[in-house]
Amino acid sequence: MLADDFYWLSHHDATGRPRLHPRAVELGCAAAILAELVGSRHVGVEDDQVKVLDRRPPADSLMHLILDQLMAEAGRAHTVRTWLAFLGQQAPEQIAQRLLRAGHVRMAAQRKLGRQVGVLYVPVDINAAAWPWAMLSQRLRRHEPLEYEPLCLAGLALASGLDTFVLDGAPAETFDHLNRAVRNLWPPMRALLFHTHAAIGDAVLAHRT
Amino acid sequence: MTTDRPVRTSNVANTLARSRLGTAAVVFFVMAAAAPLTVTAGGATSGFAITGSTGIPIAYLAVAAILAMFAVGYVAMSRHVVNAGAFYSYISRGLGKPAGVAAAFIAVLAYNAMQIGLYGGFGAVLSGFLDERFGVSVSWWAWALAGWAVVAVLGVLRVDINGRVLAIMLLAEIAIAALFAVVMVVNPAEGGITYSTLSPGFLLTAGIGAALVTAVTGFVGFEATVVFSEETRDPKRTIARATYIAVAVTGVLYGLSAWALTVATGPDKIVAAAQDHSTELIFTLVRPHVGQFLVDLGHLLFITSLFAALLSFHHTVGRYLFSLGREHVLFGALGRTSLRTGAPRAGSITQTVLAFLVLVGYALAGADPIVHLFFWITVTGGLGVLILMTLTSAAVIGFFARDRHGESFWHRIAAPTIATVALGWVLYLTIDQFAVLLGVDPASPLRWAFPASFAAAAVLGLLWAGLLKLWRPDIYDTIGLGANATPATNPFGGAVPMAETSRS
Repeated sequence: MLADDFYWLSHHDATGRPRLHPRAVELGCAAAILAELVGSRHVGVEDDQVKVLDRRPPADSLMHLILDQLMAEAGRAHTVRTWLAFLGQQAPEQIAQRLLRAGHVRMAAQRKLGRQVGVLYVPVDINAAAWPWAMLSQRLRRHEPLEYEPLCLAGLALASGLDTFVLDGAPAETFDHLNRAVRNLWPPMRALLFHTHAAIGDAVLAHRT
Repeated sequence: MTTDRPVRTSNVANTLARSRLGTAAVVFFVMAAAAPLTVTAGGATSGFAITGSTGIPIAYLAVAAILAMFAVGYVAMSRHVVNAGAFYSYISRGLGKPAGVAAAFIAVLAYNAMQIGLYGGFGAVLSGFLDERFGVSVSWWAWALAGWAVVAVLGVLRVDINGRVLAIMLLAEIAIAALFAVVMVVNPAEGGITYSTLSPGFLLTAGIGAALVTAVTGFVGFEATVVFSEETRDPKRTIARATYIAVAVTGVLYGLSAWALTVATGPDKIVAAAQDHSTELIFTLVRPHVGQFLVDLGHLLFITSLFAALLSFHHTVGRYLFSLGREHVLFGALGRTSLRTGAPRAGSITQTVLAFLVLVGYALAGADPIVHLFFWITVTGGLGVLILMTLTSAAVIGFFARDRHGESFWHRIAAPTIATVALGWVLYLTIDQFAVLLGVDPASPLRWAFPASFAAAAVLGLLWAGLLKLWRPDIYDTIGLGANATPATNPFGGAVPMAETSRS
């Protein structure tokens, strides 16, 4: 699933620590969740609005919960940016919990100076955790055409700044290839990625000093 | 929280509101960057010493009034310009894109000057303090480079001083500055308390331009309030209130503190005293009355406030370069951030390298850290920000001339016009009297060199805007629109399929 893949991509495959700064993880995970709903045609993204297209409950419980939230406030016409900010507060935890339920991660204490400061979700199988990165990295470097889901993942990587990690050391043409490939995504997905990218950039600007 | 909406409240809105900023938080963020003690102990005393003007106290109050007027239109425009926060986006929206790019170049130069100049103060004050109290005699540039190294690392890691620590430091600084001011007023020089340095008559005398730009320099940083406009609980009112409070509190504090200095020495002796004691003046004056402990505390807070200002301006430059890189006005590489920390890495490193070159140059040239680096370079930065504020003020009028956006006559035209005229007047006086400001001979080429650097930056900016228009019209079209514009280089842009132009 797309959100799972993005979670793997944005967290270290052995330690489970995030590879991105907290705001980027939050916004990226929120975008990944919305991207799953866009992919299943439950919601659409038009200009700066999230629209619920299909009110039938999705099979996955997390998607069900998110769709319920979207439907409950459909009348208020929140923008994509608002939804990203709102969903981002829970999104990394929610995806991690889904991975936990499926047995892909285990919980471990996160310590700083010997004090527990939080919880880490450590991948059970390092190969499974590294797979999205390995797959994307190889296929993009070979300039292979990507199917819909890997292409969405590549788009999320580009929007959140993970492209430098995925394509570490690759020549400029490979980055150009990624840019061109992402352009072929359908408009709702591109609109979602556009707002994700802009929101993460704004988080850099409005950093509270 | 109560709500008068008839339907049930919005879970999304309530959840997001909890993490939003209130007025006090915004005031703290911006005032910490302005670093009050840096100005009252460093800026004001150097101002007296170098410009030789006794009108510094009234200049602070006059500038506060002008900036409050400027803030009216500035804040009004921030309500309508999405993702605001940089002068250049306002100027390109109000005065056109070429002016915007020119402003961007001026801004990069000005904020770099503010930051790099502060190293002079930091190095000199720290080395003086350690020498006096602990007998550690190390030259100023060694301390400046030590501070530089720490800022370089913290900049790339995007470590900020914790908000609560910053708030406590700020309150302590204000308390110390106010206490020192009261002590100085209670113990006046012979002749008693005089108010002559607060006389508005000074604003018409020769040499006041130097005092005014010194005062403007002290306020730089307050313009950052609008950066937080999208993160506040009530963007319409919070930002306006925070801006006015920041300007008023700093204005009164600076004005009274500088006036207290003149009371303690006597208005006729302030210039000579400031030349003798430089940044030590305020501490020398209060030492007999408050004891060594408070003087040491004042020194420590002076040093930490200089450091906080250094770090804050470093982040400001980094973010400025980041936003220019993100809009592809400058190299796209500047728009890259560090993955793990989100620091605008390329921008931060650029600033660090620049600061290093200047510091090494000053150390090799054996120039005076307080006069030639701290004062000259920061007031030059202040001049740059003054130019930007003047242009921004005119841009507000231009912006609202096209569309009223439902703002009142006062917000759209009256206040911005008064501000533009007043700022333009200060700018004229400053450039006219730049020799006084530097304390050099009026025939000295330096007198023109500093203002000319901004003219050169502006010309380069205009040329660059022209080249962008020729070479990359798609980027040119989106200048100043922030992240919500979609130049063709943005792979997610053009979500309208017809606008697609694939160049494979």
